[in-house]
Amino acid sequence: MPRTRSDCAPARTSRIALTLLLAALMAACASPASYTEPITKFQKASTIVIESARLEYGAANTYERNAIIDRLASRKQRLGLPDISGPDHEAIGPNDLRARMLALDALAKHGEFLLALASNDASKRSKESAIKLGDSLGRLSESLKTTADSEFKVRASNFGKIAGSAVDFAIQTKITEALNQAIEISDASVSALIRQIRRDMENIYERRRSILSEARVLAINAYNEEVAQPNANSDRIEKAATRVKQTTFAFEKLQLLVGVGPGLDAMTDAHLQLVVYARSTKSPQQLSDLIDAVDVFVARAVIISEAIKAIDRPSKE
Amino acid sequence: MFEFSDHSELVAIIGDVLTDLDYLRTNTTLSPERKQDLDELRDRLDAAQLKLVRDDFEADTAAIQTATQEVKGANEKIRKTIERVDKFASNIETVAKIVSIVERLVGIADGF
Repeated sequence: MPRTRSDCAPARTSRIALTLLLAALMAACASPASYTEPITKFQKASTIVIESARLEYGAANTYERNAIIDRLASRKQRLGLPDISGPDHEAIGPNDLRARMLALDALAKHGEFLLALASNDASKRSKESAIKLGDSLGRLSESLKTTADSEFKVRASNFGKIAGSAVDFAIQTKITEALNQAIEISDASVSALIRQIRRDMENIYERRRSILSEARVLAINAYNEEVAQPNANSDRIEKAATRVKQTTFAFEKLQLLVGVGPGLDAMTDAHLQLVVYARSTKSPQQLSDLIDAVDVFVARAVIISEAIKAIDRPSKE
Repeated sequence: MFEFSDHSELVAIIGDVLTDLDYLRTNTTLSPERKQDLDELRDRLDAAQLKLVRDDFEADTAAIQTATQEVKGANEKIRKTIERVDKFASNIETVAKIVSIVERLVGIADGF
């Protein structure tokens, strides 16, 4: 007996419902490719912040050394290498500097690792990220052996220990345990470690302010010496006046510009967003929110990087 | 262990004192001897600030907080009278006190 239209209706309704349900389920899970975007952007922004911090750290000792040379020159005092080298004349020692750079690298790798664990193909993605983070933590751990006992060392070691166990879980494909551990690190250690590096940046800013302040005095003294000469030379006075303008401008400009601190704040915020996402049901909307948050991190990192380049650019006048 | 804010605040306040001291150092009526005294105070405070920055300085919170409050109070006193020539000598005395407080805190042996 042929089927009537009414016989087929319930079966068709079931098929439509099933199709809709499958479509809804598929929509609820982001495709593996969609995780590539936030991971890539997070890497990019982290790299910018780390490079900005490296610039700040790297310039700190140069500023200190140049300040000593300028000071001795203004007093017409002799100069020897012991006057400008060694720990007493550095804002940060080479071992401490290396450890901080490695800590920043490990923090960036941890962010990528967390995101890989939260992705829907975590077992595949997270192993690669875990290996990268493990390498980075190994270098950090070696480096910490050469640094003096300090708050930084305590915080970096704590971070390394917990991150190391998350890496172990991921390599054993224990994704849930690894994710929980990675979230715990972010809650307990990541913010504290970034805050420590931020404090370094604030201190380096203060040293630069003090150095630029003194540079004004040296320039003014040099100017006053020129005008006090019995046969004052106009060219030399003009040159000295230009130096006064340059140093006062550099001092004022420093106070108007931002350092890498806000970049580190942006990195902390991005890490917090990663944690929020990792704890969420990971719907497409939540992934979209995460992408927006990572976009904000990229934008802030780029602005701050430009500001830091401006600080280091010599003034023209 | 100290709080970050205490340490950073102290480094920043020392920076304020150094810039105030620089203002005083450009006074054109200074005698060479007076100028030398100011240069020496400046060098010492600068060295103490650098030491505070370089060493991940450990001191108990109370010592940092006390020093911060003392330096802050002394610097406010300087700021109020920094442009008054008749207060020049007392301002220099205050700077010397600040240098002494900070050197004691960072453990620079000689003191003032």
